[in-house]
Amino acid sequence: MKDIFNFSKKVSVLALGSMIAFSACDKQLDIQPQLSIDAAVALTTPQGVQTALIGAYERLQGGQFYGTNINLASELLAASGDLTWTGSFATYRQFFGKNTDDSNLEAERTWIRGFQTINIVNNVIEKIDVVQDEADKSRILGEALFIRGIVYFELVRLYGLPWQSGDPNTNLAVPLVLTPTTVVTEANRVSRASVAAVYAQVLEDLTRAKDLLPEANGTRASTYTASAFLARVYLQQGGAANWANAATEADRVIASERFALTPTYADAFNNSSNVPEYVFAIQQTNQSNAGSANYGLTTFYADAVLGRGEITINPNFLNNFEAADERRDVFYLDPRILRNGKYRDHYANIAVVRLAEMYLIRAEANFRNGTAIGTTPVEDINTIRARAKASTLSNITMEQILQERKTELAFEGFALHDAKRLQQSVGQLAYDSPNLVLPVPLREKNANPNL
Amino acid sequence: MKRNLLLSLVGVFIFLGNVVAQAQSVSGKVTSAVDGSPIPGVTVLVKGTTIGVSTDIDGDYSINAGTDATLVFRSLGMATQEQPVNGRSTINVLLKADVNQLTEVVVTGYGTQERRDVTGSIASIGGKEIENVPVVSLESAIQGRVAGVHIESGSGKVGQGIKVRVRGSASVTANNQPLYVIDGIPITTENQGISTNEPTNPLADIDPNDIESIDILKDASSAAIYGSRGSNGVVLITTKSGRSGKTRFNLNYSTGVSQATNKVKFLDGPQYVDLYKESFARSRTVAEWIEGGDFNDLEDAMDYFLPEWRDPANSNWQDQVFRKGGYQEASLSASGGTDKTTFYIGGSYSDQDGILIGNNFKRYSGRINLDHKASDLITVGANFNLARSENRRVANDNAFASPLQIVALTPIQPINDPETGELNTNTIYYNSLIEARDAFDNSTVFRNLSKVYGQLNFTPNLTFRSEFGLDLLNQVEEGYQGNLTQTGSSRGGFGTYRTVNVVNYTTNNYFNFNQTFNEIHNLDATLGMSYQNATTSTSSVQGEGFPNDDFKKLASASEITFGSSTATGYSLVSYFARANYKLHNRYLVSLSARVDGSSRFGTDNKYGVFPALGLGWILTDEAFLENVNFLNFLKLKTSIGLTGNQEIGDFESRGLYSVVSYAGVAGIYPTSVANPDLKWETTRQFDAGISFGFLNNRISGSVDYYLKNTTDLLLNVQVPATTGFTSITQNVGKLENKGWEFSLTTQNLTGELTWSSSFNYSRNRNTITDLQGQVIVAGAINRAVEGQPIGVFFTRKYAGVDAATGDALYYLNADSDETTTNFGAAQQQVVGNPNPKFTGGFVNDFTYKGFDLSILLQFVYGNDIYNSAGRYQSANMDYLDNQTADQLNRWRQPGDITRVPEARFYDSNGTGESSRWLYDGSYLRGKNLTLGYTLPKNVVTKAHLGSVRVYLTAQNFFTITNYPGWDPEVNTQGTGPSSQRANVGAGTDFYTIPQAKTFAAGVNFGF
Repeated sequence: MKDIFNFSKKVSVLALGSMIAFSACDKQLDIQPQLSIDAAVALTTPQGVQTALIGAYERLQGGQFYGTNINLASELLAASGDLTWTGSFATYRQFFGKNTDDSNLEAERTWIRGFQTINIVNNVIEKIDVVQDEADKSRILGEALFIRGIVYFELVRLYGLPWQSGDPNTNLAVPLVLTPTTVVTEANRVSRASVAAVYAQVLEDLTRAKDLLPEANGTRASTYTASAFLARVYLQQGGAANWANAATEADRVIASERFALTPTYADAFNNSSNVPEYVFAIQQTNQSNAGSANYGLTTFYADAVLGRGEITINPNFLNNFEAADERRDVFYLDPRILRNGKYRDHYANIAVVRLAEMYLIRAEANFRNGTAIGTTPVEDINTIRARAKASTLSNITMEQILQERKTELAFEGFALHDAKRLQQSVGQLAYDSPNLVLPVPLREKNANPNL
Repeated sequence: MKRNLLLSLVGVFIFLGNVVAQAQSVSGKVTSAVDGSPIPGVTVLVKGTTIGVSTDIDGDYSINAGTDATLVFRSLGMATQEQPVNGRSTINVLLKADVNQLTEVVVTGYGTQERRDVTGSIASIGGKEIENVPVVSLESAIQGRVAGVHIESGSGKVGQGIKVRVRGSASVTANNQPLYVIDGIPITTENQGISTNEPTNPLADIDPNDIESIDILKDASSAAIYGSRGSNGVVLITTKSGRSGKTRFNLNYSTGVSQATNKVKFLDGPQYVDLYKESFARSRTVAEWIEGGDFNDLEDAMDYFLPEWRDPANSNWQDQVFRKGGYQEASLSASGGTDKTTFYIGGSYSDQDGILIGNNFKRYSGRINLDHKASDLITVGANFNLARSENRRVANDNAFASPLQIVALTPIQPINDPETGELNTNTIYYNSLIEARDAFDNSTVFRNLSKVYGQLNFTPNLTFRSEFGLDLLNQVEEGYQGNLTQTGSSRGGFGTYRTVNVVNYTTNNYFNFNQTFNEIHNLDATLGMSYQNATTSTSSVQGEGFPNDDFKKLASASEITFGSSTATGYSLVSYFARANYKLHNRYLVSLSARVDGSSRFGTDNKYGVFPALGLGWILTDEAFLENVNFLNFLKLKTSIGLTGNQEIGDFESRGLYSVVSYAGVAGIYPTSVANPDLKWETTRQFDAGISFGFLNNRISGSVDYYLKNTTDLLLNVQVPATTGFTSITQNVGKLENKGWEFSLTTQNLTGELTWSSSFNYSRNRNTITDLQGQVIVAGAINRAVEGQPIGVFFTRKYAGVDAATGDALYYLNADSDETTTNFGAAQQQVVGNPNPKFTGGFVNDFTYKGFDLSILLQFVYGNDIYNSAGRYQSANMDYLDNQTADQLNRWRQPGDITRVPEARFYDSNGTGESSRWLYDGSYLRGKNLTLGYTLPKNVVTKAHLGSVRVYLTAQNFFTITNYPGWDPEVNTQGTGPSSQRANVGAGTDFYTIPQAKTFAAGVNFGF
């Protein structure tokens, strides 16, 4: 009997052990991410669509885009005396040396960031019907189209030959992708679209945005922001019809009276919140910014104590200003090297469109067409000069308007695009030299044989 | 009879074990066959049962055994002996040193096996070999000791991750580090540091002195029991346990110094000024600047960049960051127990100063291992390990704050500002001495590795074991960068605080059955399941604006600028079975399979099956070899099986949106595209080998050939960025590792002077056979390319200098000898391979009277190293960076034959990424030398001690290499260490810290 007892004890323990051992644990494999949500549910609510839109703005902020490269690529590629790159990053040194190769990481990062942003807004555009409220729906769709428009505008200017060069219908720019990516297939190997096709898309998106967007939209895009960019696009293309459009759009922004020049020129920079002069600015906070070590305009332009001190301004550049012109005073010595003082705070907002530019566009476009949409060119120029405490002009030439543009908007990212549209050579290079165009990144050509 | 019938229905084997013959008491003494000294701690087992005792300090034992029983005497490093009792009450045994360790017990995962019966390929290392080696973590201690296991430190910084490859790299994107299992419990070994510094090493929390043995499962038939994580090999670590008998204490103390294995020669002040002037005078760019009016003349330009050239200092920056490191270690252990309960208690403290200023690693560790036999049926036990390690870290290689980047500073600027006497803040790049003075980055880990188990011994043949193990890792990283540091200066001081909490628990539940039937059939079977769950949570806070550098805690920050918390996790459910069948003690069959389910894979492919088969034939047990006397052992074996890899991110099969913030508002954006088909990466491995022993086993060894084919690579596939994504994880591609392993152990002298040698050699050939056109770029110039080994160096090929002009030349393309001065026109091509052709080690052990001497040489041959910093430091003075002395050999006039182009400031003459800085990375290293002296017994006994040994040990005591950099054992991780970065971006130097050369002296007391 003892044996039986012993035995059955052992068998029951064995059975228990087996049960513990082999009970199913399938549900234990169901582990959900806590920092992300599934793409299938992300955009199924109006709130989801709205937050994705915010995600797109955030992507614009990075150093890969407006946070650094949109400015630096333009200023460094166009640099021929006013500014010198003395930094250690070989990528920017290539921009400055006009010998950017296709493995240049910054050229690659800007490309990637641009299309990443486009994919976000393409998702928003596709899911727009999730938003029921009509006003919200127009606004969100308008903002998404606005972002797609400005990103393509930056990309076409950097990665394509100038509008003025050869035939924009055959010159290649970047691929046009207008639908969101849900699965990656061969169909995603899109070829480059022509410069003209991209410009057409930019105009279409910005025009639709202009019609959809509200008059005011906090620090994000409003109908006037769309107009401001339209003015820029038309000016970039040039020609009588476009100049007229440019003047009209710039005038629309100015006439809205929603924006105002800051009392002093210095007030227009290093602001941690928007000032009335900003038609569009990238919002930065210490929580969310382009960076303060390897990215950020302050990082490169400011002195080596505040940033890396890797861009010096040629002292002769100050000869562009009258002695009383306060615009001269934003440049500072550190202690013997001249620095651009427009970016002296890592966490300040980055102005992308200032109202001053609208005056300059209106003046230039009116002058070229001999029109006075809004007001006369000399009035507009004097408006800007008055704020800077520069002397008042009684009459004006094209050269003076362009000079005004150069001094007012110096080192804010206009240099390359102005040189191209004005067909000015950069050093020894013609305005449409391929050396002034960023190459299609090698990684992209590797992943997409159609490029 | 009815009862017996019933029994046979449920399992006859349970009953069989219950039949115990009449017992009697047997006692005796176990002594050494060499010198007759008693051997404590020998396990004495009644064969076929779990009844066992250990010999005490005098070698005595006493055990109850059946009159017909056989006693098995077993001790590590000794030949196991069997003695039939035959009614004797006293059995004295002489144990001989085991030459080929064929009878040693090998840990196989959920069980053990005698080495002679193993059909797979398992390498073993005894705890003795890694005791008291002056290194931080156990991987460094086994480097060079095992065939097929290539171990490479990333740098000489203490406490950082170490790369271990078992039979090559089986994956391109997924992690290639082996699975580490301590006492049956898989532990956390992944990097837990911030992504902007090099990986941390959670294995450094383990005190190597607690380790009894390390068994490395290399082939599929041994590793398939760990299924989805077996592809990279499995390292099974067994910690020490007690043996019944008198309690033995062991006290060890050692201390030493260390320094860099090598320093690199840089230009001194006068040499620098000469080259500075020359590079300006010959620069086209400078000429253009002058022409363009930027500068008045050459001197004006030189003043602009570096006015100090007029009154140069002569600073040796390199000497400022290297120092003499210190090393000390103290450990105390006690082990012993009774028939029923045994224990091991160990405690240790080690403190290692790196060879760089500001780098230190300290570890406090305590361990208790307890085993208790509650009854014949139940055994319970617990392992408890608590450790605290403190790593004072330095910045990653790719940061100006990294100590060794200081060599970029020009020697003509003074170290201290002559006006203030403080460190110079006007250097061309950040003076990292300020970082060492005013900043710290401390990583403190509390680690608790615990395990409890219960075992039911139904019969001596059938057991059920249930284990629950917990690996808790709590890490705190605290940093402060002062007001004068690069990061802190614009922020009024910068403080960070980050915590990582990893809870990793495992339960294993399995049956073991072992029985011999009809004396010729032996079956050893295992069946069980396992569940593992790991969650990682982190939190992080940053603040700036400190009153001054005396305040370093975030409470003193005027602004908290960043705060975050994260969490992630994975789980694995597994079922496994294994049967080892042995016929006539010479025909071996091993069958195993594991079914693994992982939370990481797509809904359709969560489960994977990993079977394996091993066959072995021990020829020396055949009659036809019985009379071949010189041959003691000969075994042929082969195995084939599947293993997997799941070491990718936790949620890579999902399409996900992640959160960002913009202007104080939360936003989301898509970060990955869904791939519900994502499944296991599978490696099919074939292994064939032979093990042999000749001449009384004085010559023994093994040869193995293997072929590992990995398919369905978990590949980070590059997709067009126009999709909005840059890569997705897909099962794309194949790769292959094949190679030979050879180990040979010889007893050269066995008299009073003993001399034994052990040599191991491994050669692995890795080929990526299919990537479907993907080009995977990592590191500076590494790639994964179809038809090439993983991580080949792919760049432009440097062709030297045009003797007529001083221009750098490059080969136009791989197929021609034509050269060009146009860097852009030269095609990129495969220029080198970071994978060694072969690696190995050679150990020689000598003993003479009380002296023992052990010398370990380690070698790596045929790999290339790319010095990614060459573009700056060996770039014929293209910029202000100080140059290596070899740049003095630059081209100066037509006809000069040299590989260093003309010095032309800022002209980029030969400074583009190219094979110019690719070097042969082969080396032969004196890895360890230990000379010990054990005091004579009679002297020791008078002092009431058991044993006293004094020793001197030297680590990395010499290095022979042609690599001109600091040290050939380099692998910079750069920032953002990912497994793909580590797998593909191999063999790259970037201001990487060399290894330490350490000399230590120690004393060991046993009592």
